[in-house]
Amino acid sequence: MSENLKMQVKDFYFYYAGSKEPALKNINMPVYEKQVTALIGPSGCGKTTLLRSFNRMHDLYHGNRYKGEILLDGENILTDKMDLIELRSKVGMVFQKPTPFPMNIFDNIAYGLRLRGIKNKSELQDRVEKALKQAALWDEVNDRLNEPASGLSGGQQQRLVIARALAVEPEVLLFDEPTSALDPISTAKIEELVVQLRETVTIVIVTHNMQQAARVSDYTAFMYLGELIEFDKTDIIFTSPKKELTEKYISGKFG
Amino acid sequence: MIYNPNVVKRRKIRGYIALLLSTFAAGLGLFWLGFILFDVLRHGMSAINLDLFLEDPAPPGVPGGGLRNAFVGQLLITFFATIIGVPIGLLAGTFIAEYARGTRFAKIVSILSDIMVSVPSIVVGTFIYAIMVMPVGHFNGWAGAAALAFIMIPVVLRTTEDMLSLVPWTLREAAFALGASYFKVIKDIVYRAAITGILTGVILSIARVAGETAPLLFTSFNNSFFTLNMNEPMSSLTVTIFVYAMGPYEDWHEKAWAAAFIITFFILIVTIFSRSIIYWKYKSKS
Amino acid sequence: MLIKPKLEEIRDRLILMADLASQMVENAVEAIVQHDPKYLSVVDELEDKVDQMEVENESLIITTIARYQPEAKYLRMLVMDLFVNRDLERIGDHAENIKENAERILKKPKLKEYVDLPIMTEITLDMLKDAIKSLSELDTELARSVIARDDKVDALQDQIIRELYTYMVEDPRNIKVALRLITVTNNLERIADLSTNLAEEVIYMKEGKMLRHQELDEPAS
Repeated sequence: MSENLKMQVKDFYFYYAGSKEPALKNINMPVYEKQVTALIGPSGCGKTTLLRSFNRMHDLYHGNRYKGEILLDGENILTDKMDLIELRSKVGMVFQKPTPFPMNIFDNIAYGLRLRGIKNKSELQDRVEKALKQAALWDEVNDRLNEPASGLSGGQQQRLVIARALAVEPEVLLFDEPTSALDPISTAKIEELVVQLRETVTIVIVTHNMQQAARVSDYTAFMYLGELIEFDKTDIIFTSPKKELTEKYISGKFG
Repeated sequence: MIYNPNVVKRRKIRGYIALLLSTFAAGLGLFWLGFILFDVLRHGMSAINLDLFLEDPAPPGVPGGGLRNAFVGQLLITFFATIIGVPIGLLAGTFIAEYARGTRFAKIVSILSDIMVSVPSIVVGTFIYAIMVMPVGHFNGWAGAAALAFIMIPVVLRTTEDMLSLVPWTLREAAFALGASYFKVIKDIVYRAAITGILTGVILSIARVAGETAPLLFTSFNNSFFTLNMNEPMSSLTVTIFVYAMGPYEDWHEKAWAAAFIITFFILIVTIFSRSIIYWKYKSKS
Repeated sequence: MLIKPKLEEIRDRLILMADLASQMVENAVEAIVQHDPKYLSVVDELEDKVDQMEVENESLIITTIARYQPEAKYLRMLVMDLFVNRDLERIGDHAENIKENAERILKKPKLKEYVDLPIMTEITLDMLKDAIKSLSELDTELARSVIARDDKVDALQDQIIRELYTYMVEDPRNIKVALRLITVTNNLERIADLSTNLAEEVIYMKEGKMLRHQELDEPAS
């Protein structure tokens, strides 16, 4: 299977504000286009830190430092020249806790679109419908689009948030432990959604549940204490990993 | 199984006693509230009529007349106090809760705001007197509004800051991740999420200053005549109560009771109203 | 359910593999019956394919188990798929064996018009085909019918051997060919056995009952 490189992490280090020791050390890793790449590892290994570097969420907090490069379609996103709003149009994010905005369902999905200047009512309606269909939520909410989003269940809210991110047609979608706050049935629905979505979007997912990574991803990166220990096809990581540390983690000896 | 029926019995008895005492205390409080309202109403009942609202005061000693100037004056002063105080309090609260979150500057502003709240209201009055009455040469409505605003600002600031801090950080991050600027995040998301709390804070601050007397004594003072001009001294309900109650005329006393009842009633209504907003909002949420 | 497409993929591959193995047997025996070597070249090609599929299938099945943590029904299916995979490869081996014997047999003149051999082959191949059909549809009734036919195949083999004895006694020059023919029937009998195994594995997948090394039971209601 020849795959295109969507993102490439090169000699990447990350320092939290006021810290001399890097939280991420010497990360080199590819992210293949329209594939699901999972980041796994025990708590504190840096997987969420790495994920949040892909859309530069760390910039929100004064004093964080990046070193090295992260290339998106060949262009380094860590430069000062990079327009963060443009970056976040290309790279969307779904968080652990479902975060619907305090508005009705339609406005939630339309928010990103309106931010980008789309005002035409029928265009908005079309795009909102498309996004909700992609997130497998349209059937459940199409008759109550102007009800507050907070009235949905946890699993529905998370799909709402996914639809919201999809509405602006990102090329990469980052998932930060998207199912840890959900019940098993909602979790299964979201996992199926992720596998489906990879036909349109490149996906990177952080999960502390390695069985989830096994089910859902094409490539897996195992991290430990801020370093990338092993990166390979998921088939290989879960049947015959090359590093002993990986093998120990997979078989549950720690973490 | 470890179970001692005597211990349980003793605990139950203590529980009942505590329940009794707290119910009694609550009843006591409610009783006095009701008594005050009733008593004030009883005394001022005779003076509550349409004339009270539509007529200006009669000359001292002459029965009849009303308190139209005081009502209107109170409304004007409170209105302008709100226009000055609420935006300042809101923006300052937003600033220290958002842009300056966690900085030393925010902490300093917070402390200063607490000091402002605890300044005795008569001192506020004298302060405004010095800067807004003396230079102008006479009492004026603007000074009254400014004095009330001075009291409102820290209340609104503190409420705004508290309400904004309650909005979970992940909600902001989600908006940032969609490509919004900080300003838009605050406007579209954070304010919306905190609106109920902030609104309640604003309403309560209005209710608070509507009953203040001391700050108005040295600033807007009083005016026996009806006026809409803020540059002139202006009468207010609270000051009027003070003046009339101290006066020699029976007619004045009745009017003072009536005014007192109306203010108390107004504040009660406003407080209940703001409470029911919270109740209604959270009820519909579940 | 994320595992379902994988299960279908594995199932399809096994059915294809069984088809190839079946063709191998058919062609090898046909060469003997028709006394014509042209059927034999097909068998070699198919053998390579079957071996390759066995390796790929095993890897696929193990990976699927590792990645999808299947429980109960799905776990039984995948583990049995592994056994079915192995059994099919062995059937291929036996077919290859038949082919090698056929090559030797064809060097000598045709011994007789074979009657029982084609019948035995037909029954065996029917057993194999039905076993595979019962796998693809999880039809345990069909699977049980396969198990029931094993005795018939054994009986036919005895019959063929008895007949061949007479040919060997009649003329010692027949011995070489006759012995090879007996070897062929041994292979066929093993293929029938393996088909029976397949049927037992299908019943386990569906019902959780393991019938290996047992007499046929009453079907589950």
